Amino acid sequence: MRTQFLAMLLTANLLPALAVASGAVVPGQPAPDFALKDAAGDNLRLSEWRGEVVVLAFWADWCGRCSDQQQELAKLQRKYGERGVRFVTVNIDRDDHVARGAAARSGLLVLHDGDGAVARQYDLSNLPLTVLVDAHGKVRHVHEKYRGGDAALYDEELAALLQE
Amino acid sequence: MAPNRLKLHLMSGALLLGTALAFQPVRAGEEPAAPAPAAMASVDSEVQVLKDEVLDLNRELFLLEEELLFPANTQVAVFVSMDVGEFFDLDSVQLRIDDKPVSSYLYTEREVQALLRGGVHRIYLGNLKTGEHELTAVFTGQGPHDRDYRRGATLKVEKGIGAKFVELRISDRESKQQPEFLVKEWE
Repeated sequence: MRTQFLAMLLTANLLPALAVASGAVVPGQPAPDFALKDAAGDNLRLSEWRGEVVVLAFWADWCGRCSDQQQELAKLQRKYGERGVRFVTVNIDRDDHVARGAAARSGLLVLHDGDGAVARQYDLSNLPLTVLVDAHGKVRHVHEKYRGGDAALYDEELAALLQE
Repeated sequence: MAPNRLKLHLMSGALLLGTALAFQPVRAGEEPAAPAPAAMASVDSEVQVLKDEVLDLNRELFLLEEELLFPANTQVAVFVSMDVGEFFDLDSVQLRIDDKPVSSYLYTEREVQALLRGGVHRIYLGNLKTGEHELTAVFTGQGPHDRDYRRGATLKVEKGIGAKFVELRISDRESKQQPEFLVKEWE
């Protein structure tokens, strides 16, 4: 029984490690670190928010569901912004004026990934891509695309992460 | 790539072993007995020992990977340092070796403050064969009067046998009221 337990523990720990070897963003593994410019031109690095829960949302101007999601993220930011959750959106449009406009409109922090380097790091294949990173810098939840009702799911997940 | 493959082999082996052990059949009709508290404490201590061993193994693998990927005789490391910084607010450094981009790094406010307090940042670690190589660093940021500033510095390095360390130093030239960019070799 003890051997079985240890074996299961070993297996559970090794599976995500193998998935990372294939390049995907996997819950339980460290979120790939990056630095990008915000709308004001300041450089910001993901690892500098260690200690806070981070909601990382990749989006583009042409993605209709992304704007629906951003409205919901702005609401969640009002709810959780002062409770240790940082909302970071990453715009992947080539031109940075989209990011600057969105930052002014939504009140969310917008980083610009014009050359797509960070999107590649996160193996982006669907938009929006939302990654919830815990206070230790580990990926905890990954959501591709956005459907009505997903915001309620983010809400539940954030509440749980804040209670840890 | 060799250490990664080694890691993958080790992990795959452990995974197969783990899976085989985890799925040992339980005899039909046999109720799994509830573990006694003493047995649980023993499992806890074994898990702790296992965790320590995994950490040790991870550390050894990291060192092995560094040694295999960057052997001392071909190793080149490039560091960035800053002195004073009154005339230059660092934004990024791009590094090219033999006209090939090898590293590009955006510095956050916190990282710039760390450099100003005497910190040194390793921007690149790689391999170079023996012979002459050209190293070019392009610094971007804000210069005097908050103007956008972009400056390059080039150094020809002779790579012999043994590790090569290069420092990219940003300092202030008081006499010209301008920043100065130095590339210095350390043996």
